[in-house]
Amino acid sequence: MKWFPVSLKRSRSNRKMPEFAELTPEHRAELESIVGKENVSSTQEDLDKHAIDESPLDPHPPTLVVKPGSTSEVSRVLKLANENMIPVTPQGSRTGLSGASHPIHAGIALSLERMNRIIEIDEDNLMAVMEPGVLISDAHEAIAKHGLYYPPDPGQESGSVGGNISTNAGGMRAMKYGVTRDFINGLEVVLASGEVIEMGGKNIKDSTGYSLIDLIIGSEGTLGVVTKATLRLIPQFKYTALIYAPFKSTIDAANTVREIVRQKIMPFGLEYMTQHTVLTVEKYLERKLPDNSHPAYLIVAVEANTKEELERQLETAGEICLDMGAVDAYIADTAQRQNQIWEARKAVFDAYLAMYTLDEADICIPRSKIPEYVERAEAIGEKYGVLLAPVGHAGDGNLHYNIIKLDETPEEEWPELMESALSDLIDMSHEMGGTASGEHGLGYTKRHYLVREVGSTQVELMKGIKAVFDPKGILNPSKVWV
Amino acid sequence: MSEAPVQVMDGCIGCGLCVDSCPFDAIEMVDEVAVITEACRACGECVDACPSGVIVMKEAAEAVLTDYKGVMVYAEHRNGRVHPVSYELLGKAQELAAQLMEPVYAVIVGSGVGAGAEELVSRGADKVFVYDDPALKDFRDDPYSDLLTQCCNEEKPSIFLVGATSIGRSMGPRVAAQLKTGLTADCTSLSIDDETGFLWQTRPAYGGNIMATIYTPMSRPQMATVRYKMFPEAKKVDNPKGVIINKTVNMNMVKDRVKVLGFEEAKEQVSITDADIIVSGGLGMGESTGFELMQKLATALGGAVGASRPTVDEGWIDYRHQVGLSGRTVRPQVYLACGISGAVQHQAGMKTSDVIIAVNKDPEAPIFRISNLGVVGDLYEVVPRLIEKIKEQ
Amino acid sequence: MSEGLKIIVPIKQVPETTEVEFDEETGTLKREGVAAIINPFDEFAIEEGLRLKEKHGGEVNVLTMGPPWAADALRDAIAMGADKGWLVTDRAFAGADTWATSLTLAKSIEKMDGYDLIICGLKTTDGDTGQTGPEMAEHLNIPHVCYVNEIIDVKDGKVVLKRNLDDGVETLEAPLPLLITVGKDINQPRLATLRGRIKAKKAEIKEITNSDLQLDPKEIGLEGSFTRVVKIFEPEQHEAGEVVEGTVEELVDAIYQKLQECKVI
Repeated sequence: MKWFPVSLKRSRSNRKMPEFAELTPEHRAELESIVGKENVSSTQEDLDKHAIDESPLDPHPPTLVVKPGSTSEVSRVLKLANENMIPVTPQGSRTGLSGASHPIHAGIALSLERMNRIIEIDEDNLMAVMEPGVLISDAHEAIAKHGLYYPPDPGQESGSVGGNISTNAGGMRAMKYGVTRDFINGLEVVLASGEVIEMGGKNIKDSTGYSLIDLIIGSEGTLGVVTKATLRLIPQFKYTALIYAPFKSTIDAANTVREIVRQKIMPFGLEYMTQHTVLTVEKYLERKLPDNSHPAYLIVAVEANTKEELERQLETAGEICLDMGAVDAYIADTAQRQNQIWEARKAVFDAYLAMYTLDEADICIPRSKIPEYVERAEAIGEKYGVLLAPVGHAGDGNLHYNIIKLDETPEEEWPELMESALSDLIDMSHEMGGTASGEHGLGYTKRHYLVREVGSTQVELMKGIKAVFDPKGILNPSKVWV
Repeated sequence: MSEAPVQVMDGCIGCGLCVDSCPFDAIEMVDEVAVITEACRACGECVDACPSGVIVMKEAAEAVLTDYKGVMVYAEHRNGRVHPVSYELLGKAQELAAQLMEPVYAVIVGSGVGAGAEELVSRGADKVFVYDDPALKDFRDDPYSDLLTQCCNEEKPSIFLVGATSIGRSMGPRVAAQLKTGLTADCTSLSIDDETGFLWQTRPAYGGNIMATIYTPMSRPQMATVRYKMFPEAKKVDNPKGVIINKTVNMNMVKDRVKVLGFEEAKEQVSITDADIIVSGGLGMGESTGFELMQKLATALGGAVGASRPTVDEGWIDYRHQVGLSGRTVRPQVYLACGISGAVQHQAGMKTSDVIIAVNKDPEAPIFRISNLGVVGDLYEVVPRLIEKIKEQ
Repeated sequence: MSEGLKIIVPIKQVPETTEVEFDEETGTLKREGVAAIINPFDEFAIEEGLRLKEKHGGEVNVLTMGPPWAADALRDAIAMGADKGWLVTDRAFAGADTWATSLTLAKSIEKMDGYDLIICGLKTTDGDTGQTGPEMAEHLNIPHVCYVNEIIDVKDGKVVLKRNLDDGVETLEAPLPLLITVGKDINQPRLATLRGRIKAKKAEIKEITNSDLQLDPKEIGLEGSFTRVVKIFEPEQHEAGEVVEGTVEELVDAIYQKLQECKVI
């Protein structure tokens, strides 16, 4: 799949990149002495693997893949790179969707996969301390064993904790709990110079100076490399259940989202899907969802500590759905029934990826604007002759618009159509006070949208911050802005 | 307590010697009198231990249980060809019977099952009871279970074993219900308890998360359905001395309410969700043609082909083969992963497989951490040779 | 069948997870804090009952034996669309094995409003035996068909259906009344709806105790059970993974041996 963001091409000529150095055999020997021979690789297999994430961007192979095993190794690798002007691209499990972990300028792919220890689950302080390479699914599993929960729950469970911090990932539970930023209490970060700094810790409150920790979260590996994170945990609820509600129109479903928010029910998950998505995922998993014959669907997930409270929430949310035009309100209350629906929801992106050529917009708008957005987006699809399949964390206003190539669209026209549709979707989001990316980050493929959203003053501030943290610009160059 | 096979008569002095003697903790002292609880297994230790001689075995129970002798196996077959599970049971029956010093029986029901009966004799059955009638050609639960009930009532085996096949697990309960005896489902191990001579039947429950050992104290035969491929088959014996006993079949005396209209043999192509064996390929195969090799191995093993997500993304194989978090979750008996590094995404879909075998060039591949057997090697060398070896045997 | 089909679905309430924790000291299972649900296989039975009712008319009665709170399982089934729930409950029934359970259920069914078809899940996720259905059929003296994967037609007091055997699929014709067991390939159970749940909350659950059945205490509960449990224990864990290197022939041998151990060749 070859494509080039249109606006990216245009802007490239007038940008000046720092002069990066090539990695030499001497550098390699030194890197091998730092992390061990077996943890420096240039095999074709490794270069291929570390050249991509899950975005449709063409591969950017690094010169070397380096896999440090400790903070001090990360520190020494960065020091070497910084002194020699070698670009470094930090990588977690490379499941990002906007090219943030592509080694655009080759150099070192700094894979943190070996740093995957869960150091501590502290039940006294409700905190967990872990290394960045721990996978989100493993973190959830280990934490659940203590009856606790780490709410950020991006659909991609094989993403890493470090990657989630770098993009400020959100996911299915953001409506009630917020995003990764709200649950990161402390970080250990290695700066480009190799210096190790610690921010925050296990304190719930902290009014000391600037919150540098919040700069690191969401910085997509451009300010430093996270080597340890302290995660805030909450007690698990005893009971959960969900409603799967089919609607006669997309607008009814969108209005219901607004109504649920207005009625002050706080589901932990509120997801929106259209029929196209339901049919696609059914085909992909070869399994049926409770209904597939209506234009739009909502999944409303609630939790409580007593059965009575759970029942009350189900009834209230269910009644709202029915009042707002839901055809029915199916209830999944056992773990198995809920899992079947969550699994289907989480397989949506993979299903589209398996069956279509596409990219995904990741806009986030104020929740009250959802009905208007959903309605107007349909015209954008028609205008460019692309299929728009929105799937969203509707409860927090974060809609993923899968922009899908129609069969009849010629390959060569697709990149431009796709980029134009994406651009319009983002413009419309901005118009409604929304953002270009709710949770995926701008990375490489969407970096040209930053200035449109925040304006040049803020971009210059960010560049200034970058220059303080990484004066030579070796950390994940060419990301976040143009 | 009335069912306890041992009785305490008047005159108990409350000495408690019987309590100490009982290997099953089945005797309690209540108001200084021994009381036999339901845990009693009629071993008789307390009878010997009682200084006053007031503990006695219940005559009736004693008589009923000892009337039954012999370990009987139901010989399941399709068109006269005996199912291998029955030979496995025959082998186990020989072992149990030797311990009990009882004979080994087999019973076969069908039409034209003479050759099967002979094979059972040649593999060491002492007596093979044959119910042979054209009307019994297709298996039906009704007549088959009626005839087996009849056979058990006439021959009084102490143990009756049935393969835990779909037929055995459908018909076995009917026989047990008619015989008014216990039936233990889907056993994975059988042994004779030294103390009591009872059959200890061990089986998984809760989806294999626990094992239970069960016995049948008060009724005979002790019946169990037994899982396929748990024991070695009975081998041919040198001088088979067993006899075939033809039983008369009177179709008017058995129920026969369900009609067989047709049978369609299972198709070769198995889907990965149902397959007992899955051979999966990953990016380590290097190219899409690797799946042809995977298919050959899967065919040789009678399994299905699985795939890791990257291979599906590469377009090497259809997504229906994808195993993993975003594909299908599978739990086969054996999962053979070739050239799959074992990303957590993949592991989530297969880590509960009974046995995982991985072939990978990289000794550090994460898949090895969850494998029962990890093989460090080139799959293009190992797999073709493995296929040859399977075909040779 | 002008009045449609009278269908009974016997169900069981089971622990939600099979990841049971084992108490080494008492040799029993820890059931505390584990939610109770309808045995997942029984959901296929309920669904098939509802589909038959939708096609042929009639009613679906659900039946369960257990403690008073097992009524929750009946209400769940009513929320899915079942018409009536019957709870067989009595201390005297406790501790029953499949023989005693199937007898108690069979006798209870005889006390209900009649039946044409009894549909059972093919087994439960806790006991895992799959015996209660066929044993019940024997106690009721009706035919049974296990592992049904498709009901083709119900007409003139007869059912044409398909069942899975190990080596293929058989088509059968069976007379009503009939008992069948069904597995996951027969349908995909529906979810209860909100309206269904509200209705189920108010539904009357009929109770059957041994004073209704008048069964001999020797035939029910633990005393009526022919099988006894000697012990329960945790299965041996997977052996620690072994990683082998060597010549191709050695590697092939290692795999071959493992496959033999697994009894797949």
